[in-house]
Amino acid sequence: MRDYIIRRILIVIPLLFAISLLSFFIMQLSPGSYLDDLRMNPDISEELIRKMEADFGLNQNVFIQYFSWLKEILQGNLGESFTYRIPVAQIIGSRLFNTLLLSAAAMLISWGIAIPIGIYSSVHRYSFLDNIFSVFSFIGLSIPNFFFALLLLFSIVRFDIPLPINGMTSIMYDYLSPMEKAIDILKHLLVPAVVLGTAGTASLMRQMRGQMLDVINKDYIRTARAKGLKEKKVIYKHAVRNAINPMITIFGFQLSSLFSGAALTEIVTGWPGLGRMMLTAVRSKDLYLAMAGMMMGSLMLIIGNLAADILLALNDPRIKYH
Amino acid sequence: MQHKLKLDDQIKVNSGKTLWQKKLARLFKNKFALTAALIIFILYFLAIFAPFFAPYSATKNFKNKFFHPPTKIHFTDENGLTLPYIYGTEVKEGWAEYEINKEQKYPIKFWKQGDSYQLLGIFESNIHLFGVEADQPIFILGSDNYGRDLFTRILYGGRVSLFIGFIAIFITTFIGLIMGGISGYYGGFIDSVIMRAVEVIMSIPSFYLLLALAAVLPLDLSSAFRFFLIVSILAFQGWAGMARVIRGMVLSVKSEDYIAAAKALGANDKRIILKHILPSTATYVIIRATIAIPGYIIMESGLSFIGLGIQEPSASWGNMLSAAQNITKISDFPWLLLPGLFIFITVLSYNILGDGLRDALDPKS
Amino acid sequence: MTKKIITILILVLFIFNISAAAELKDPWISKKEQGQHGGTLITTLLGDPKTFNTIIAKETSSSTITDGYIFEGLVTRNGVTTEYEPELAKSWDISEDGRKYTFYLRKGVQWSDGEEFTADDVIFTFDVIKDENIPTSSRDVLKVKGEFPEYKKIDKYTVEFTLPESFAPFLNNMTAPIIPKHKLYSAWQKGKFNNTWGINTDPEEIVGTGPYKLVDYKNGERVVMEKNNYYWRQDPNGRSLPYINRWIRVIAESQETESLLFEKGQTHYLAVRGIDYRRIKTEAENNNFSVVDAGPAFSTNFLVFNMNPRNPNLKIEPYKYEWFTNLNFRRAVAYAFDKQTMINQALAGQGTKQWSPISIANKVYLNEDVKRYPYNLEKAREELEKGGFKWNENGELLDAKNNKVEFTMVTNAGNNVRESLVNIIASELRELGMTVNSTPIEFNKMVNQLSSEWNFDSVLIGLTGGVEPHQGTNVWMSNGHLHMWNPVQEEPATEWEKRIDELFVKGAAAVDQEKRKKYYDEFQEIVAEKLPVIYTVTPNSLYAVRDSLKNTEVTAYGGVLWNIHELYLED
Repeated sequence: MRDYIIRRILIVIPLLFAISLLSFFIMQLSPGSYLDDLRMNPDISEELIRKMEADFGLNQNVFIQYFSWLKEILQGNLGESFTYRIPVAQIIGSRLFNTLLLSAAAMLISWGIAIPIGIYSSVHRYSFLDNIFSVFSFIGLSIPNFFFALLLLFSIVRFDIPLPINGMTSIMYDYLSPMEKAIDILKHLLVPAVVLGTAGTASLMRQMRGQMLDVINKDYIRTARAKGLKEKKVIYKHAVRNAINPMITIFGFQLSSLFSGAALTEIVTGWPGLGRMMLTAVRSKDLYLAMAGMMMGSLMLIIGNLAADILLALNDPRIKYH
Repeated sequence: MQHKLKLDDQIKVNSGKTLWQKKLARLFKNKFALTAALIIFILYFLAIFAPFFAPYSATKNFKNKFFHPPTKIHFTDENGLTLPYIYGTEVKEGWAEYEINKEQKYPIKFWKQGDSYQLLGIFESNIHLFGVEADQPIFILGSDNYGRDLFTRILYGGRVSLFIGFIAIFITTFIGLIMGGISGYYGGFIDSVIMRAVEVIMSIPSFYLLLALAAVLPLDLSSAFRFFLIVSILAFQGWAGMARVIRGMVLSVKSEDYIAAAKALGANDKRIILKHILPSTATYVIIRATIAIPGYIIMESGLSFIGLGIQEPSASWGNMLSAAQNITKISDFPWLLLPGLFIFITVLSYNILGDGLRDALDPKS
Repeated sequence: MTKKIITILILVLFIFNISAAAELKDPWISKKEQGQHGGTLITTLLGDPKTFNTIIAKETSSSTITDGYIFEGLVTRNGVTTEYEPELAKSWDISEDGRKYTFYLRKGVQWSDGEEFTADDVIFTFDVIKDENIPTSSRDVLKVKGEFPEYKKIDKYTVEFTLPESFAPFLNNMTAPIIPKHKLYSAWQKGKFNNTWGINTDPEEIVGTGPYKLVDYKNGERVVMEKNNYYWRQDPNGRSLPYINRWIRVIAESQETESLLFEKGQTHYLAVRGIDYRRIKTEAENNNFSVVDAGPAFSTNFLVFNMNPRNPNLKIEPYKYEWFTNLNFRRAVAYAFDKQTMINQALAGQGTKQWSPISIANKVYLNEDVKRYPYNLEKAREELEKGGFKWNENGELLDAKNNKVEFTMVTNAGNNVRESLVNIIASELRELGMTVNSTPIEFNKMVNQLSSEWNFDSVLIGLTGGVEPHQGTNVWMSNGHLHMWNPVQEEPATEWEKRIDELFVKGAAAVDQEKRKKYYDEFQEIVAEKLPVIYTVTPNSLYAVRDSLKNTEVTAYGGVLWNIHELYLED
């Protein structure tokens, strides 16, 4: 077990290295550089631009650029953003946190809704509510999240719903008490988290329902019932516990789609996270920022997968990895 | 979850039906799945024959009739039931305001001659399902900001949005099967290399990868080429997951007795892989494909929505929605949101079908 | 007796000195209505600043934070009349020959940290601008005949500039923001100037003379500013301006978000887009804001064809050079511009047709009598025939040597207005039998094609004009690198381009306003005659302003906040 964990952690390093290589060369594929924006400015001379190219190291061979970047990374220097002219690390930190916050909230929402409903549906199989929930889950699964976000945002403006439509904090944030600050962020989190969470909710719901159905038919449940235990206890103490275990695998799968989905959701709802930063960085060819973004996103995903795998292994001693 | 394989795929069972026939029967019993399949079929049919069903060509625009509301079709007049007709509209003072002119009646003609087109790249024709004489446009779903018929664009956009996922899944499946098959069957060094590649790809959140790849594509490629590239990007991102599962399946089948038997009988590797191992993955592949297609459709529309996918003037449901992103447009011209509805219906149908397939083919889950 | 007189004299001098010390300020008093002090102004920004160092800032998202609000120049322009007004310089003299400018600085102006503003700061600012190691756009525009002007400090409040020759646009360059020597001198000396005042600088460090100072910046969210307590302008009661205490600028990532924020009641003004105009105007009636149509904006959008003999594509398609340099061809294209549809579709009805290179909003220099090309496809066909073109039996356009006329037209993706314009233009040109491949491409790529690769066919692009025509030298002079149809010429390629070069030199050297106008009038006539670029339409400047924001004078040039120091919020 311990060996397994150590091995998995060790693999992360060459993995990240390979990812960095991949990301770097993808970025290089596109023509032009960050400086093109400035060429169009009639006030800026050619020499100025050439000077900046030298400053940024953009006039060097591609391989040299990669290795100098790598060298810096290994020393803990993520480089400087071209557009902001401050260290990448400072920009990434807060953005990363925001994305994690959003993902966690979405996960909370989707599990929070899916588990109870899944349990209910399995117990009241084929009932009216079960069917309604099924329908809703399919709808939630099928609406593209950017479309859903669009509809939500415009409803909020059209029907004057007192929810914020953009950003993470409101204008007067700095002047609020800590309690109010927390509430402010939660209010802003609502729309993006709901948009992001709905897709996962549907499949989770069905999974939970399926697992519960599986478990309910097992022998030990019949035994518990025969023993005269109250139905509620049977369901919640025995069935649910056993049904949830395999769901842990889903936790891992969810992570990837969560981080990906977060990017598009952030872009549309204006949540200041890593995904949104990636879009602007990639578009303006802010090389180091984009690289760091890719690496961070991958790192998050790798750590998440690792956590999921460890949880899985801890939970089920039958599983061996060779 | 490991998929437990059944050996009796080709052996006839008591009732005289093969297992596959039984599975299909189960599928057909599921009304929802059937309806979904029908809807999907209709959508694809409309898309393939888009030039026929659409009254206009993809680029035709009525420059004075932008943001025109859907044209009302009338079936009765003062004499009772008649053949369907529409009234002409005139541009009113102001902007994007139109007045119905009851003086001008235009009957809807079926099998009308209009802009010429090439069907399937082979047949030339200029027959459209319906249309209206003279310059009066018929906008059954309204018009967009350039005065282009929305119904026409949705049909043509459907070609992109529906087929990108479809083609991408073929490529993904193809590559996934090959890579997974080779990896699982041969093991060793090749296995390591392929699995490491899979890990790398799967460790980058898919949208980040898409974003980076799409952002580096130059925008002025021909739309066909761009379509091809977007398909490739989606497939590049998707094969990894499939390869890994296939590999797992191959690994477990590999150790089954009948494989050893086949080897002992002298069957070569290729035959073993193709005839014995891969077919057992069929169930998984089918289910996975039906579930992946809507994912691809959403990814393409997402990319086009933020401007990195299919570019104007080509239509894609995603980039049509992107143009609708404005509160004035949504409140005053709500028909602009219809492409979103089409995406939703397509994805919903695929999901229902996929669910039904899963129930039918693999009742354990 | 003498003793008495001397005592009185000394007393008088003494009193004089004391009162002089108390009144060293050259006051500026607001002429608008007295307002209430206090309140918080909330507006939006389209994008994060990249630096607070105004000298090296290159993008508007940075300069919009600093220029005019944190930093000021010696001279400024009135937001309504666009005429020069004193700012940090209370007055100036220009010598007869137009070569010497003497600026008399306002006395008693303090920086936001209390230090006094003097000629040392001015000298320091220009030392920095002149420094070749500092990447600033201000340096090149200050050069006259390739030389940076000489400047020296005459006394604590006087600075003198000497130019190699008379140069009328010089005052325009004196709007450049002045930076504090006492805060930045040592950084500059150590060669670290380029890294100072980046976006994570402690706001206390950023010191300016302007009405507001920086208080907080949250990346991706907002910029918070507060009033400069040492500001030199005063309200009618003699109290220091600005009225509004705090200013929060929310970073919105799109114009759509800006609209939504305003409509949710969260901001005080909005630059209204054409498409939202009608809807917002109706809402204004029941709400607490009014809508202002400030007339045509200062931006231009035009189509330019590649007339560069060094175009690498000419090796494969030499005939394109023949087409694009053919004046009849360009005239035909001009006649095919359906500007009314452009206004309707691309600008949602809120725009004006443009015929001249000078912005319509530029009342001082606009020449209304230039040649126009009202939409007329018949005339377009006539011009094509005159140019030796003809049509084949499929209606396709051919040149005299039977080459099919086909070319690409690009513009930058993501700009809805420009994409719309290209769509409209291309449609009409197709009516004339041309095959036009229109596609939006990345801005970066388009810039490359225009400024270094020179391999485009035609581009639809725009520039933001100012009041001073000389700002366009990079575009209009034949050696300019933004002379898009044929840049960086060693010798003017045509007679008319030569004439334009002369006009710009003469226009810059002439100091008399009437003479200047004559030169630039002729320049506009030439452009309209020879059509190196073909203009389209100009959007209107539309603003929605909350009724609670008072003393505004909204114009196309100044926007809403040009006189922020005298705006106040009414409860």
